[in-house]
Amino acid sequence: MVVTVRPQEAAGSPARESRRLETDTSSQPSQQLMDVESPSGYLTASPSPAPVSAPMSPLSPTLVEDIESPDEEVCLPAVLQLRSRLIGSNRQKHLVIEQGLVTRLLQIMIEPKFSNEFKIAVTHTLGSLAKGLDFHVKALIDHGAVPVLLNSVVDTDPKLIEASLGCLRSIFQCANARSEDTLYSDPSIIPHLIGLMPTSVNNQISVATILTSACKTREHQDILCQHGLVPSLFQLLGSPHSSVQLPGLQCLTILMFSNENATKLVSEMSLNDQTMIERIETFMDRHRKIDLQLEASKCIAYLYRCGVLDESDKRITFKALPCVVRMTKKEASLEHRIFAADTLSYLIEISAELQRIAAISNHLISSMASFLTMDLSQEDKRALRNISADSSSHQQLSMNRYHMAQIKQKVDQTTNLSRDMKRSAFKVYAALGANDEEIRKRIIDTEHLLPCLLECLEDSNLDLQTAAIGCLHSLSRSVQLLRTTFQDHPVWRPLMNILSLPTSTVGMLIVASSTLCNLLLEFSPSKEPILESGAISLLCQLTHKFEPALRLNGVWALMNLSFQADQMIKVQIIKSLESDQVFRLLADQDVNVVMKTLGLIRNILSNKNHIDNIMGMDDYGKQIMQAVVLILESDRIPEVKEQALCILGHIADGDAAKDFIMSNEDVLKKVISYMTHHSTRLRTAAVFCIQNLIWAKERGATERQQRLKQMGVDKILQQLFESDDATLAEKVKGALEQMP
Amino acid sequence: MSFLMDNFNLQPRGLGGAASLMTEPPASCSAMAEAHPPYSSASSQSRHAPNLSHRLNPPREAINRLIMNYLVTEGFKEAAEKFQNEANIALPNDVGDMDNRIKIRTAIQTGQIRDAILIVHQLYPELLDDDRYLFFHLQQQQLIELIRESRVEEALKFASEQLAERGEEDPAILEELERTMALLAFENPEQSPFANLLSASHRQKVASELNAALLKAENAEYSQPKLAGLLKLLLWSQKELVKKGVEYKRVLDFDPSDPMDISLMPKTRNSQPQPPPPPQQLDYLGGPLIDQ
Repeated sequence: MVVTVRPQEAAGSPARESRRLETDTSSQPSQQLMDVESPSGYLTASPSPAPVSAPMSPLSPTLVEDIESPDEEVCLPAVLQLRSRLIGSNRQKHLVIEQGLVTRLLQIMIEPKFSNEFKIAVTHTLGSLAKGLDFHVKALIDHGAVPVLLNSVVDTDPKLIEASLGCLRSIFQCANARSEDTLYSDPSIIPHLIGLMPTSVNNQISVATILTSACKTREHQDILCQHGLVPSLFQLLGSPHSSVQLPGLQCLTILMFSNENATKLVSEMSLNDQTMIERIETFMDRHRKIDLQLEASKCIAYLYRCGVLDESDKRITFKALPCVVRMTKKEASLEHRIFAADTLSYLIEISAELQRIAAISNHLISSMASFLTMDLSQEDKRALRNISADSSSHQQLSMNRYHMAQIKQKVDQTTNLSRDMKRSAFKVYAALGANDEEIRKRIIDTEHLLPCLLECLEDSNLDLQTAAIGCLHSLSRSVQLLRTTFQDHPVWRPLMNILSLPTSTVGMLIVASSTLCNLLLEFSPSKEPILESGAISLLCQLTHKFEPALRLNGVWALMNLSFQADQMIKVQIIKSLESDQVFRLLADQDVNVVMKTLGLIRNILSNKNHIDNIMGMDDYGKQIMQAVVLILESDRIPEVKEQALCILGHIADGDAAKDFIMSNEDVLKKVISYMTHHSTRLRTAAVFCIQNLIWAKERGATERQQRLKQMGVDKILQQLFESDDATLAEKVKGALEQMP
Repeated sequence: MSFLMDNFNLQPRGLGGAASLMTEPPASCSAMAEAHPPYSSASSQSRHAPNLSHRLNPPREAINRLIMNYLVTEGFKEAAEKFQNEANIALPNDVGDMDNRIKIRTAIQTGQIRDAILIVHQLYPELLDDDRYLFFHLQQQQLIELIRESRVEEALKFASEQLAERGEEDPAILEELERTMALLAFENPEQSPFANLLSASHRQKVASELNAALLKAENAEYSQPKLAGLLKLLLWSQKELVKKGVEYKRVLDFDPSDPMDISLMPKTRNSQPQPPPPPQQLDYLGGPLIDQ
């Protein structure tokens, strides 16, 4: 195969030179290449199966000259000719941008002496450029096209306004555009755009699309709401055209995402005896276009998640949920399936009941399984290889940037699609399996799930990685899976890796450490290998993190780890965590962190031998006693103090360790005073501690009983014997039996 | 229209002959307006099942409305206006928009593809940028016209300068492009396996595709005639019945795998149906197109 290319210089060559080439060769097109290329210009095939490359002939210099002309009568026909060349050809768009014509086109737009007809033609030309490759759109933005076009939008000519809005829409639709800041830079722009909506069908579409792309933050949502976007969108939903309804719904959805104010506004809106929510509901009817059904379902999901709708609302259970579940089927298009799956996972994420209803579907879990097997086609794999082949081939310089961008954009699209499908599937599995063991069992039977999950845990894309961790987290709530599947597949390895990588996001760390907590449960076979790979120091580091959820998970995992553990492991935890950190954790603002820290100490101080040995370690016993006193003297809630009293109970279970309490009059008095506390749980915990101290068959029991009798413990026990609380009564009875 | 009659076993009455309708819109549609509804006409030759078709007898008015919808959607303005008088049925409101569509359709049906493209650029500057596949079909037709007129040099130049880029972007397009270029390899392309590209019905197909896109650009809810949807539904139902082994009387009998049939194209009788070319024939054309 023979491929012809033109070197870079030709494309950017001086005007005179290329004019000669064009006039020379125009009559004999088949020889054109021969004439301009040196013999070496004819290349034999590159090793890769490169596509059929046609020469990129530069714009005619006359055309360029005419476009530069200050005379409208010369320039307008040239612009029209340019527009015809551009439409449908990314290559021509590339040439025009490379030749720097964008600056000139934008100049025309701001020149007052030019007619609107001329400016409209230029706007259409710019609009065509905006439909090129992503980096063409970026070039437009970099040249300052957005402010110039916004300037035309305030013109009085409705046709110019419509054309400018259309062009802006194309620019904003490009995912990488990121030019929304310009819209918010001047407070008059947004209300003006919203005010333009009723003027024409095309303007409705354009403005709704622009605002959808430009609504990126909570702040943006609030600004748009303040300027009355919600009632304007309500109008759009009443349009007879589905081409208007869809952008209207899309804009509404993005406006309501996790925004209580916006959802409240929407829920209060009504027009001609129809509420806005009722209107949204009509778009979920089966005769509507699929896009509308899906978008409306998403709206309903957002309304529910913001608390406007109840989980048992019929619009959710009979419309939105069935719609998104149905659209995950293989028959639907890939884009629709991803959209449906994402909406589904968000909709059912926090409701066990909705999870249960969704799981009734007989196809959902297998439909999701087919998301995992979507992969790059052979052809795209080849294109991927060609990128590297292309970049190494110096002869293809002129085409390189364009080609690379073109191929890259295409391959990106396909890889994104395959990645998005996996991400969506993991999210659905995570949501489905969050609460129900039966559903989890059905999920784990999915073929390829675990291998795919393992692979994606190490993917370079953070979103996919996060979704994979989430799925694993849900599955790790199953005792059975922990014992079986997770033993066969070493999921802990990538998980530990994620926890130690600096690139991991906070969100990833939180879910990964939650999962690790489950994997460290006593009966989990993964516990041993995780320990061996340095889990303890990793978890101790987590307890130093700024985010309360990470500190909590760190302590939680340590607590699970220390449950019925070997003394060696306990000592390792003590040394690794350091007492300063223990005190910091006990003073944590998050009460859950305090609870789990106390739980950790309880677990460490269990088993008679361990208690004596560990309490006897250096200053450890003393520090623990200080910590307990600290908690008991604080104004923490009874649940926390109960844990502290339980620690004393554990210490009292030791032999030598009992002295830590018996020798400390202050602590003794405290324990005794809690025997008469108004909180039953604290009374129970205090009696538990006393019972251990006076246990009869142990060495020194008589002395301890004597001492406690002197302090009036026996009388208090007698009084407590009358208690209504069964647990407490039993504990008191047990304690009294120990005392002669 | 002739297609409809063939399949419904109707004899055209009051028409100048089906052949005259093949490449242009019908001048008169009275036959359809007066014709018996297709279901009852087919009942006389019941083959498979007890005749239930009397229950399915659609009112003539509904049929007339379907025909009007077809004429308006496909942009047959003159026929629509005649039909309005003959069948006493109102024209839909948005007929005014038909003028531009007719101008464009006429240009394509007479082979003036370049003109058609320029009008589209003028009236709908975003359309062909948004629908590159449609744009390719227009350019492909432009290429076909050049080949038809034996302007080989121009055809090659046009293909290499404008169409090669399309082929690079999309392998499906590349294949279609190669089939078109293959016409050049034959002394007499009309006798080649790819002759169907040169048929008038191919122009019709492109014209209809563009017509549908124009309707969509004007925010019309339905860019296809309702008849087309109805036929697809009918075919699907028949297929389902066959699949389930139900005996029934076939209403329609034609090859659904040929997209020409489904899109309600009038069939030309001049060109004999060609068998699809065996794939290995493409091999010798597998080389680069521009270097031929």
